[in-house]
Amino acid sequence: MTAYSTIDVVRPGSVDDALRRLSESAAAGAPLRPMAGCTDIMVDANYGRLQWQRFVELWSLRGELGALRWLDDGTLEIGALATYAELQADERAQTQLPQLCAASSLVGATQIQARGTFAGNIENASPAADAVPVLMALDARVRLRSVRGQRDLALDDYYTGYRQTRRQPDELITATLIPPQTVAPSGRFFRKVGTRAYQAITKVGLAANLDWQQGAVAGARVVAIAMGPTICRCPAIEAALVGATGVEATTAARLRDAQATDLTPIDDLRSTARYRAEVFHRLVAAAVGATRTSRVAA
Amino acid sequence: MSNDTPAPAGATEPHVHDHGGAMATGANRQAITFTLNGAEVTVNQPPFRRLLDVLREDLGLTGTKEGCGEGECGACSILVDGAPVNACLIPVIQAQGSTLITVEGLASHEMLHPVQQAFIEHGGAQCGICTPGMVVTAAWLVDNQLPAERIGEVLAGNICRCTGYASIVTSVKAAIEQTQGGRS
Repeated sequence: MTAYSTIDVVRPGSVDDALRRLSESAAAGAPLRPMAGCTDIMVDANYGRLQWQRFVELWSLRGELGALRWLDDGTLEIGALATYAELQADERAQTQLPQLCAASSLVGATQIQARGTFAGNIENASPAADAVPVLMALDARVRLRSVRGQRDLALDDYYTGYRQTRRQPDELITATLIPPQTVAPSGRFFRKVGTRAYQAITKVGLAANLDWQQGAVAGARVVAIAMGPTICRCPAIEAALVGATGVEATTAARLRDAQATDLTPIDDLRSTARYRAEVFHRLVAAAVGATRTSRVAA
Repeated sequence: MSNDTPAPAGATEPHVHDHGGAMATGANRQAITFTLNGAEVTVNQPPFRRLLDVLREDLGLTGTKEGCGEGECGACSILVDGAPVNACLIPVIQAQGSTLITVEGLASHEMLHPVQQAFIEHGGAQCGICTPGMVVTAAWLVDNQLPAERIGEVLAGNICRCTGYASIVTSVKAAIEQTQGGRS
């Protein structure tokens, strides 16, 4: 069990104060770890797996970092500390980003959704994260701030390895930005496969946005969940989908080959490589069928 | 919501609690002030101590239970700033400035919350370990006038290992009908 008494927590008065503390601690070689909704950090703490000793507490900064804002150009800016419950309560998000709302409704259950944050989901960097794959399919960007300045990184280029991100020790995620979408909600697909509907961690899953033009896929963004060390785009599958009108035998074979190029799932405590590979292939086929059908229906 | 009532049952007199026990022997403590069941409380605690332990061990509010300690079972559900959360996943420092309602704070004086009354009338409890968390989450559902169709989804984070779900759902439905006059 973690010795609670040895953990140091800095309580900043503002985001600027937090950035200053992050910068100082990073310069001193003992960087502070940001803590937000704590739905992952506290599980690690309770089971003696906590990797950090020094934290900067952010929950008290929700006034500065908690807002959902629709910008004039249609971009949704999700404040770092916005929760899954808050996203689901946003009516425009329900209409324009239904898959993100669905993913948010499947994070743990009510109590976790009231506390878990989008920045936390991104920075926790789990290969089985719920919100990250949908954000990645939506071409989201991560906004990082430090005393040195601000930069936006594409979420699909944010992960460098298992639980590794491009965030520097003095940086803080302040927002996630979802640009206006060209693919209508009916062309988007999200499916999480777990042991049950709620309180389950994903065994395998897919977020895919397919741009249908004249009965064929003209472009695709395909994001794999729990199929490798990070949530990731699947460029070979995306290329193989272009021109597809359905998933008949030859297309299916092409998609399987592409999948083998993009993804190398593993056996672990939640599932097996074989199960993951087979189910993922079927999810890709399901995404084609579901988005094509809704396109015709529309 | 029922937390509008000042100083409901289970309220704690405002004073500094400073008896963190064996977990709090280090020098690293911080003063943390919050409103608990209508009363202001200040504790002096290691910042990462679980809110659940502070409530149970230091403040004597043992209605909130521990089941899994990892945010899955919901036995430790309390309301923080009006939302149901798992007290096992909240470091006490994050309670600073918050308004907390535990199961002890749901009733107003001698008047039980409609959910508590319905659990009694419809046999919503078996062994009782999940009951306080179940009641807190259900009270949030009822107080926010959510429809009966959402009971299963809202209570998905409260697990009953007696599998007494039918009676629990019946109880929550009864509370909804009583407070919303059947509309939902």
